[in-house]
Amino acid sequence: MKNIFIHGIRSTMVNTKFAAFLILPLFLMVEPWVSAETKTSYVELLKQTDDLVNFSRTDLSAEYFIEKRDPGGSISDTRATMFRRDRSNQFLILILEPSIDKGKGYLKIGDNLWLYDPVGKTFTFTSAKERFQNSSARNSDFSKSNLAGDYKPISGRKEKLGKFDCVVLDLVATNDKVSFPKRKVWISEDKLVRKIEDYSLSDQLMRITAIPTYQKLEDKWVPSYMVIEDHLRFQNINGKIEYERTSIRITSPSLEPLPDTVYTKEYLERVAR
Amino acid sequence: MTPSLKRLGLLSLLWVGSSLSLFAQDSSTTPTSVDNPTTPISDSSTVPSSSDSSLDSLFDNPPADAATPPEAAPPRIDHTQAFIQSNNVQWSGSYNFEAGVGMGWQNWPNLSNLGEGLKGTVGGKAGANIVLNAKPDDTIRIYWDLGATFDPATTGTFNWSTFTINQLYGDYYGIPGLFLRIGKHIITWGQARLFTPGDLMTDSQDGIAFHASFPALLSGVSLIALAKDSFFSNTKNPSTDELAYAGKADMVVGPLLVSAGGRFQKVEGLRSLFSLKTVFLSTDLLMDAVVRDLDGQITYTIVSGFYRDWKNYLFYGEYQYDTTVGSNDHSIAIATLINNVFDSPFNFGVKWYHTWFDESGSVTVGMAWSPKPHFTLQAAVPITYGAETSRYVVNNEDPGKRRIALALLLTIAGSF
Repeated sequence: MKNIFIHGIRSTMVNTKFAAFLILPLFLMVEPWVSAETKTSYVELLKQTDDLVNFSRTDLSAEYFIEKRDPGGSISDTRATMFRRDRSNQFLILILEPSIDKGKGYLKIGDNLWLYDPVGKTFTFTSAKERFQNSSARNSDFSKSNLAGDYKPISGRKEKLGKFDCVVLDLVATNDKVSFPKRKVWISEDKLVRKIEDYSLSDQLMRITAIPTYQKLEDKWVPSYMVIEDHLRFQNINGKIEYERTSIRITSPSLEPLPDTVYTKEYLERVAR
Repeated sequence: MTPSLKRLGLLSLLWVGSSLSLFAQDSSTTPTSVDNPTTPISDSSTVPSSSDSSLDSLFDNPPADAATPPEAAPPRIDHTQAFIQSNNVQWSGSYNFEAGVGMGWQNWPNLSNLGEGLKGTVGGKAGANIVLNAKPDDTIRIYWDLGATFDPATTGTFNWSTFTINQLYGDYYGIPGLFLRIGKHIITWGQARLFTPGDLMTDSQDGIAFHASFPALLSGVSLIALAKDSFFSNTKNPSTDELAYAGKADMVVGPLLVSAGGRFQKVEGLRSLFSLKTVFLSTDLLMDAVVRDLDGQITYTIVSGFYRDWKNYLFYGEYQYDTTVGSNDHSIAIATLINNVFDSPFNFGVKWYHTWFDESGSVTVGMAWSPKPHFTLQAAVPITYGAETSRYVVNNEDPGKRRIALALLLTIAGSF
C-alpha cells in the first residue's frame, strides 16, 4: 500500500526516484497518523458515492454500446441491453450485436454468474471477475457499486483532475471477491467517481477507468460515457506503448419496474435469439 | 459427451469434428483470464505508470453531466419489449455434408503381414434441419425443429430419411413466476461433460414432456412428467402410473451451485442426482453423484472433474467411479483442444478414455483444417485397446470395428 501511496504522490508532486526516496520516510511516518476521524470521513464519502449510483428501490435498465480498440487499431463493437436489480445484487445482460454473439447473455445472482450460449443452449457457471466479452471491462463492472463495503481507505488527499476538484482515496480490498485487490479512486465534489486505477497485490497498475460524464435519473446517477484502459494488454508500436482501450456509452436508462423472472436462466433462454 | 457425439456412425473421426465445433463455440466468448492476457505482459518495470495514460485529457473539458429537470417524469422505457415484440416469427436452419475414407486394422497390425485384417471403408452422411421459432405474443412461444438425414451406415439405405421432428414444443409465460414447456424437447441435467450419468433426462427427446419451471424459486426449481412409448403397456390407453416423474432444484450457496434432483418410473425405479459446481482460479470444478434404487438394489456413480480454457486452449478432465457392474469400475477421461495452432487455421485435439475395470480404452488424435468458411478437412487416428470382450472394444463406435485406423473427412456445413 505504501508503494501505491508513494506512486500517486510521485506522479503529482515530484518525479524523480531520488526525491521519492527522500520523502519516503515522511509518508511512512504520516500514514499511521491519519486519524480515525479522517478515515471515518473517507468511509462516509465512499458510502455517499455508492449511494448516488446504486438503485436500491427500483430496477435499472439501459442500452450499452461497447467499443474495444486493440493495440494497433483493430476495433470490435458490442451492443447489449442490461437489466439490474441492486437490492438483490442481480443483473442480466443480453448481447444484441455483433450478430455472431446475438443472444448470448450474462446472468448474475449474488456472487455467481452464468454465461449463456444460445447456440449450444448451455449455461456456464463462471466468475464475476472475468472479462466481459473479452474486453477491458470486467463482469463486476456491471454490478452495483460497493466501494464502502469491499474496500477500506488507507489514505486520501485532494487533487485536480482536469476541471474536477477531487479527493483521491487509496483503497485496499476487505475481501477476495473483488476483481482488484487495490484501487485508487478520484471522487469529485459532487460525490461521483471520476477515475479509478486498479492495482494488483504487487502494486502493478492493471487498469484505468475514466468516467468524465454522468446522467441523472431521479436522485441517482448513471455514467453516460466511460473509458477503460487495460494495462495488462498492450503493445509497443513504433516505440510507443499502446493499450487496449474499451469505450462504453450508456443510453436510454430506465427505471421501469421489471418482473422477478427477468433475472432467471429461463428468461435468458426465452429471449435469446 | 453429447448424444450427437455418441452417434459416430461412419468414422470415428467424426468425434473430432463435432468436438472441435463444439469447442469452437466456446472459445469465441471465453473471457481471457487476468493471469493469461492475450498480449504478452512485459516486465513490470516497463509498464508505464498512470501518468503515461492519456485518459486524463478526457477530464479537461468533458460534456456536462446530464441532469433531468426536477419536474420531469423519470424515464420509463420497457427494454424487455425489444426482445418480445421484434421478429415474432423466425426461420433458421443448418446443413452439413460429410464424406470420408477410413483405413485400418480390426486387430493390432501384424508387422510381418500388414495386409492381415486391414479394412478400408468409404462413406458419407448428410443432414439438414429447419427451425421455426414463433412468438405470437409475449405469453406464447412455439419452437419447431424438423430434420432429415442421409446416413447409410446407420440406416442401411442410400436414401434420405423422411423429415422427423427433432424438437416440437410450446412455451407458456402467462403465469407470473412460472414457465411451462410442453412437447418434445431436450432437457439436460448434471454438470459433467465427458461422463454423463447425471443426465437423468437424456431420453427426454424421445418422448413428450410436461415441464414446469419456477425460475425465481431458490435458483430454479423444475418439475417434469415424461411420456414415452416404451413406458406404456398399451399406448392407446396409457396410465399415469406409467409416466416418469422428475424434479430438480438449483441453489447458489456462496460460491457453489448446488443441484438436487430425482426421477422415478415404476419399471426403471428411482434415480437421484446431487451436483456441485464452482469456479476456482478460473477453473470450473464439478461433481455429479447419482444413486439408483431398482427393486431395493442400490447402486451409485460419482463423477468429478474440471474444465479450464485459455484463449485457444481447452482442457477437460473427469474421473468416474461406478458400482453398477462391479466394485472396481474406475474410469478417467481427458480431452484437450488447441485452436489455431501457432495462429494457423489448424485445430488439434486429443481425447482419451480409460477404465481400470477391464483395462480398456480409446484414444483419438485429430486435426481439423478450415481454410474456407463452411469447409473443413479433418484427419484422425482413433485407437481402441483392451481385450476382445472389454468395454471399449465392444462399444467401439467405428462400424468397421477397427482397433487402429486413419480416417480422413471432408465437411461442408453451415447455418442460415
